[in-house]
Amino acid sequence: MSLLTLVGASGCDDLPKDPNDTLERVQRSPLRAGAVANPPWVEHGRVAAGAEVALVERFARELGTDVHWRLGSEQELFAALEAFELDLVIGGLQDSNPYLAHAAKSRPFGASFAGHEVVIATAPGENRFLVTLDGYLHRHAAAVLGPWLPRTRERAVPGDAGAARAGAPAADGGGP
Amino acid sequence: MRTTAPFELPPAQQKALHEAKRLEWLTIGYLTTVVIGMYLTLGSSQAMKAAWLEDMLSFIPPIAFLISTRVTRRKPDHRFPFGYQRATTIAYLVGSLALLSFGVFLLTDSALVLVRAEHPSIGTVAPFGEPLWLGWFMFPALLWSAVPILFIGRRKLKLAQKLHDKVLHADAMMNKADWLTAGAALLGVIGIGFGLWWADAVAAAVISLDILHDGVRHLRAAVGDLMDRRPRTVDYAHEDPLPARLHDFLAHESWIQDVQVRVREEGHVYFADALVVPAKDRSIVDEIERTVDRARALDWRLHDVVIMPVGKLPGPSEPR
Repeated sequence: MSLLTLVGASGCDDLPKDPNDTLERVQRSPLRAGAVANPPWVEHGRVAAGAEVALVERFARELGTDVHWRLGSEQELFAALEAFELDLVIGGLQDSNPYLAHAAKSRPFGASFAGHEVVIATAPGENRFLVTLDGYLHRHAAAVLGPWLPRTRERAVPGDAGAARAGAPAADGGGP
Repeated sequence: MRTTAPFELPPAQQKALHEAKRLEWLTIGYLTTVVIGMYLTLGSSQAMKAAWLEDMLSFIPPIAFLISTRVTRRKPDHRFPFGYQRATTIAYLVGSLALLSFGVFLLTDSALVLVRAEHPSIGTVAPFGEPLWLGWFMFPALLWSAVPILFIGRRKLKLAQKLHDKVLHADAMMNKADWLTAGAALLGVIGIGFGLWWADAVAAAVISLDILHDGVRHLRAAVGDLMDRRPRTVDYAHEDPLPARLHDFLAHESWIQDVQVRVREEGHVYFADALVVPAKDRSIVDEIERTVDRARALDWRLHDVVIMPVGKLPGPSEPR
């Protein structure tokens, strides 16, 4: 019962918390992100580039931190994620990706651009970090992805993504 | 072939049975809403998935109860000369197995989470546009899966005593397991909210021990019933005093000098036979004893033969 009283006292905004304090740590040291090549989300090459790379770098800027990129295969990067050596993994990951069983995943985004739902994998159980990422994606994903994925833009359906894009200029200036 | 006399519950018990059946239908309807509600808030949480699978197991005892009450209504016939009462015991075995598997499942599942140090992830949902933590939605779903079943289960326990119905009793224990698990999951989700990744699994493991204990107890009781163990009370805690009462009653009859009784359970009811030494008229005893010996000599499989002289057969003989 003491837990219940704690819930009341601390307020809902602080919950959930991260077991490994990921959100607090990335505000002091760079965000450790893994990228699997999968254009247009992550381009092939020796430096991280692509639609989702831009998305994560913008997220880091909002948190007031940098991104330390690690490029590699799905298997390698997901193993690192599960071992808490990475904070998130990108690469046009689809919701049904079997590697996601041992990780946490964001809400799907990007369906209106590439035609399929894409998620970002985060370290398992770091729920505060995940909720923060989801909030950011909800506000900015459409606006950040728009310039990167123009080819399929006409497929955009009216709704979440469209509304977010329309409000993007104002949101671009603001903080998280 | 001789058949057992058809069995009818006394009026008070019939009323209780009627209520029990209504409660079981209510349980099935209610569990359906719980399973749907939980499914909608599952997310990617392994813990919630486990709780959901357990809820599916809870369907087994009420269904077993409803089927067995249907079967036991049948009158004894030439295929089942002892009647259909024992369908209750089979349903009891099924119900207790469901309870035991529930406990085993919950314990292994939570132990694995702890051993592998799996951190449960609970993400967000966006039913109103803005993404919100799914944990908040798990609270009402879990409360709905805990509170009503608490009262349903308590009522079933009362009816089980009245009806001497062990299936109902096992089902009431399943319902207790249900609300305990939901309560543990609730504490678990709160724990996860506070960044304690192990809270969910620890709460579930503790609860699973209690469920395992109930499951083993009921499985042993059900197997014992099928093996014609001395009758015990519905909660399996004590030996039923009824056989002793029967013995004392017979011993006080003036024509009986000495008596041994043997009682076994057939579902709700007991079957008893008593060997008595008559005090005065022993004219027929020698003949019966001789006939029993010769009857047993017919075939080695005729192991225990009881011959009881009666004035008139209870009913027309069923075809042999």
